Amino acid sequence: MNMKNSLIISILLIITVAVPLFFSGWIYSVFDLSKVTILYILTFILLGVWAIRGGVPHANTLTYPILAVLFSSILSTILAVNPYVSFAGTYKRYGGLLTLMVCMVIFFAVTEFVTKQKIATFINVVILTSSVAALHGIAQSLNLDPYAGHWQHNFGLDGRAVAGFGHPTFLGAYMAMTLPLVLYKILQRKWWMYPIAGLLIYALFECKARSAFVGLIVALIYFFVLYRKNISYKLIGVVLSAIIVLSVFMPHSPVKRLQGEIKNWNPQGNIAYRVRIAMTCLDIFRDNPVVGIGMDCLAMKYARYYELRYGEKCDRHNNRAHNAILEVLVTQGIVGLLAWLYLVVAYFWMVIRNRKNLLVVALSSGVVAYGIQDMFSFGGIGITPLFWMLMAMTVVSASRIPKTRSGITYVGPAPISGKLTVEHLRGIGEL
Amino acid sequence: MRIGLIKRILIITLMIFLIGLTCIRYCADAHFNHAMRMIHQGNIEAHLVSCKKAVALNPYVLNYTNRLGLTYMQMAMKSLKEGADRKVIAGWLTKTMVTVSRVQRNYPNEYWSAAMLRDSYMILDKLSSVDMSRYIEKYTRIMKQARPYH
Repeated sequence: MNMKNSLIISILLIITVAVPLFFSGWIYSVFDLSKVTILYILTFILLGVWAIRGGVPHANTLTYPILAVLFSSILSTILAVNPYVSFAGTYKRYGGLLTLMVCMVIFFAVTEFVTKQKIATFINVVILTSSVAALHGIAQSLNLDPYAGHWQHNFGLDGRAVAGFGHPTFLGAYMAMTLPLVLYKILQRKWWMYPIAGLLIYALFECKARSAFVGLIVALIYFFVLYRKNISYKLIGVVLSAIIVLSVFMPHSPVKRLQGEIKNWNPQGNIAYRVRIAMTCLDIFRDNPVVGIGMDCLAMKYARYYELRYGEKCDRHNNRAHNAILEVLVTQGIVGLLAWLYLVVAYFWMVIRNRKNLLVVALSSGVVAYGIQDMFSFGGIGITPLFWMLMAMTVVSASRIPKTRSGITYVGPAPISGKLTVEHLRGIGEL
Repeated sequence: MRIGLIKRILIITLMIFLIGLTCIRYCADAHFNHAMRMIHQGNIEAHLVSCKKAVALNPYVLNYTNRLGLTYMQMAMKSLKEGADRKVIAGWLTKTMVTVSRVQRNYPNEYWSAAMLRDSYMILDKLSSVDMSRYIEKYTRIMKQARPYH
């Protein structure tokens, strides 16, 4: 049993490293398909080991909200404009039901097998992974990418760092999600984490990703507000000054990019076009309000509705709403939105109840960073598994009862006069 | 004991099956990547071989099937310009129609496949004495309503 548990934890650690970093120049869809392939293969192995080991995941705070999301996703897939696409996802994004289910398996595997003691290992691995990605991204921005020319894809992204994520916003989002974990380590007096924080912030700025920048700022504010009593103002000063200095003086900062776009305002520019996407998505939602058009099916309807609203030909093949709420409304309808809201409310209710726990605050700050950047962008395959892992680790660290290595839960010490009884052990089904 | 063993065998078989499906999808994209490299180098023969393998391994990807259909279509147009035999042109057009019809089955009313079907029927209409106007109208109607996506 212990060997199988260790194997499952090892697979989860490999997923943590491999999904963000792995890409293959042998295939056409260099980044997304590489990542989704490694994610699926490792998750199927994990599922196989889990099935042989036996045991059903124990219910936790988020089990029912996640089941609600799963139910709404299945419903929208059955009634989708193209059920196959809704199930498997599009060729480019792979954001269908299958990927969601794989992420949910990862969530339940983490809550079931990762103990509070092991979370530290996972955090270290996430920080190490993001540091490698940051170094790769910075090398790209300096034209020193060791893999340049290995793939056919022409990014056309103006020298922005992408690392192995395939798009700057995903690298930026990964950095924003990891930085609260680095902050957590710094608060634990791991001083050598300061240069890593600098490295990750610099990489985020090299992405010029505004969504990730906003995500980071909101996540840090959330972190400091929730844990304000135990944080020194010196630390807040250092972090905020670093961000302000980089925003003002760095030539490639997301702030400079935003300023440039506002100065040279173009109605066909990025920000104005996002408004058009939002209005078009609302039109699609109005016609498909209950369960939406199906996951990952937006591209099939988008151009037609865009032309109807704006009376001009749509020259961009949009397959994402670039806003999490609109995305859910369009693809899964009101039912989906309610299910996701249930998940969000249950998650943050759990966090608020455990706000004195620094680890819970740090992990949930990563989730906040993802959620905020998702309001202006979307979750790619390189970052979504980390989002689910952070949620699962929050559940583990918020649980009052520490798990032991064997999976048996120790409730408390036995009475001095008596013996240790069966009642003192929960999760006894494995015995 | 025996039930436990059977359960393990079933689980491992299912796991291998799922991993196999994932690997097939990956291999299909590797073939498509090779096909695209070949077309950039002007090697149509190698492009067609790799593209056919990609479509055979994963027929549900729009890009693979439409790209194969487009290459067949381009070959038909080239043969037409070169004044090739009718049978040769009809052969390429038939291959185009068979290929992109699969897209219409998997993705009803898809724009690019409808466009290729319409164009194929238009050429066939000119080449042969058979009236193809019914099909041309059908796919023109689809094209008017559909919009390209990928």
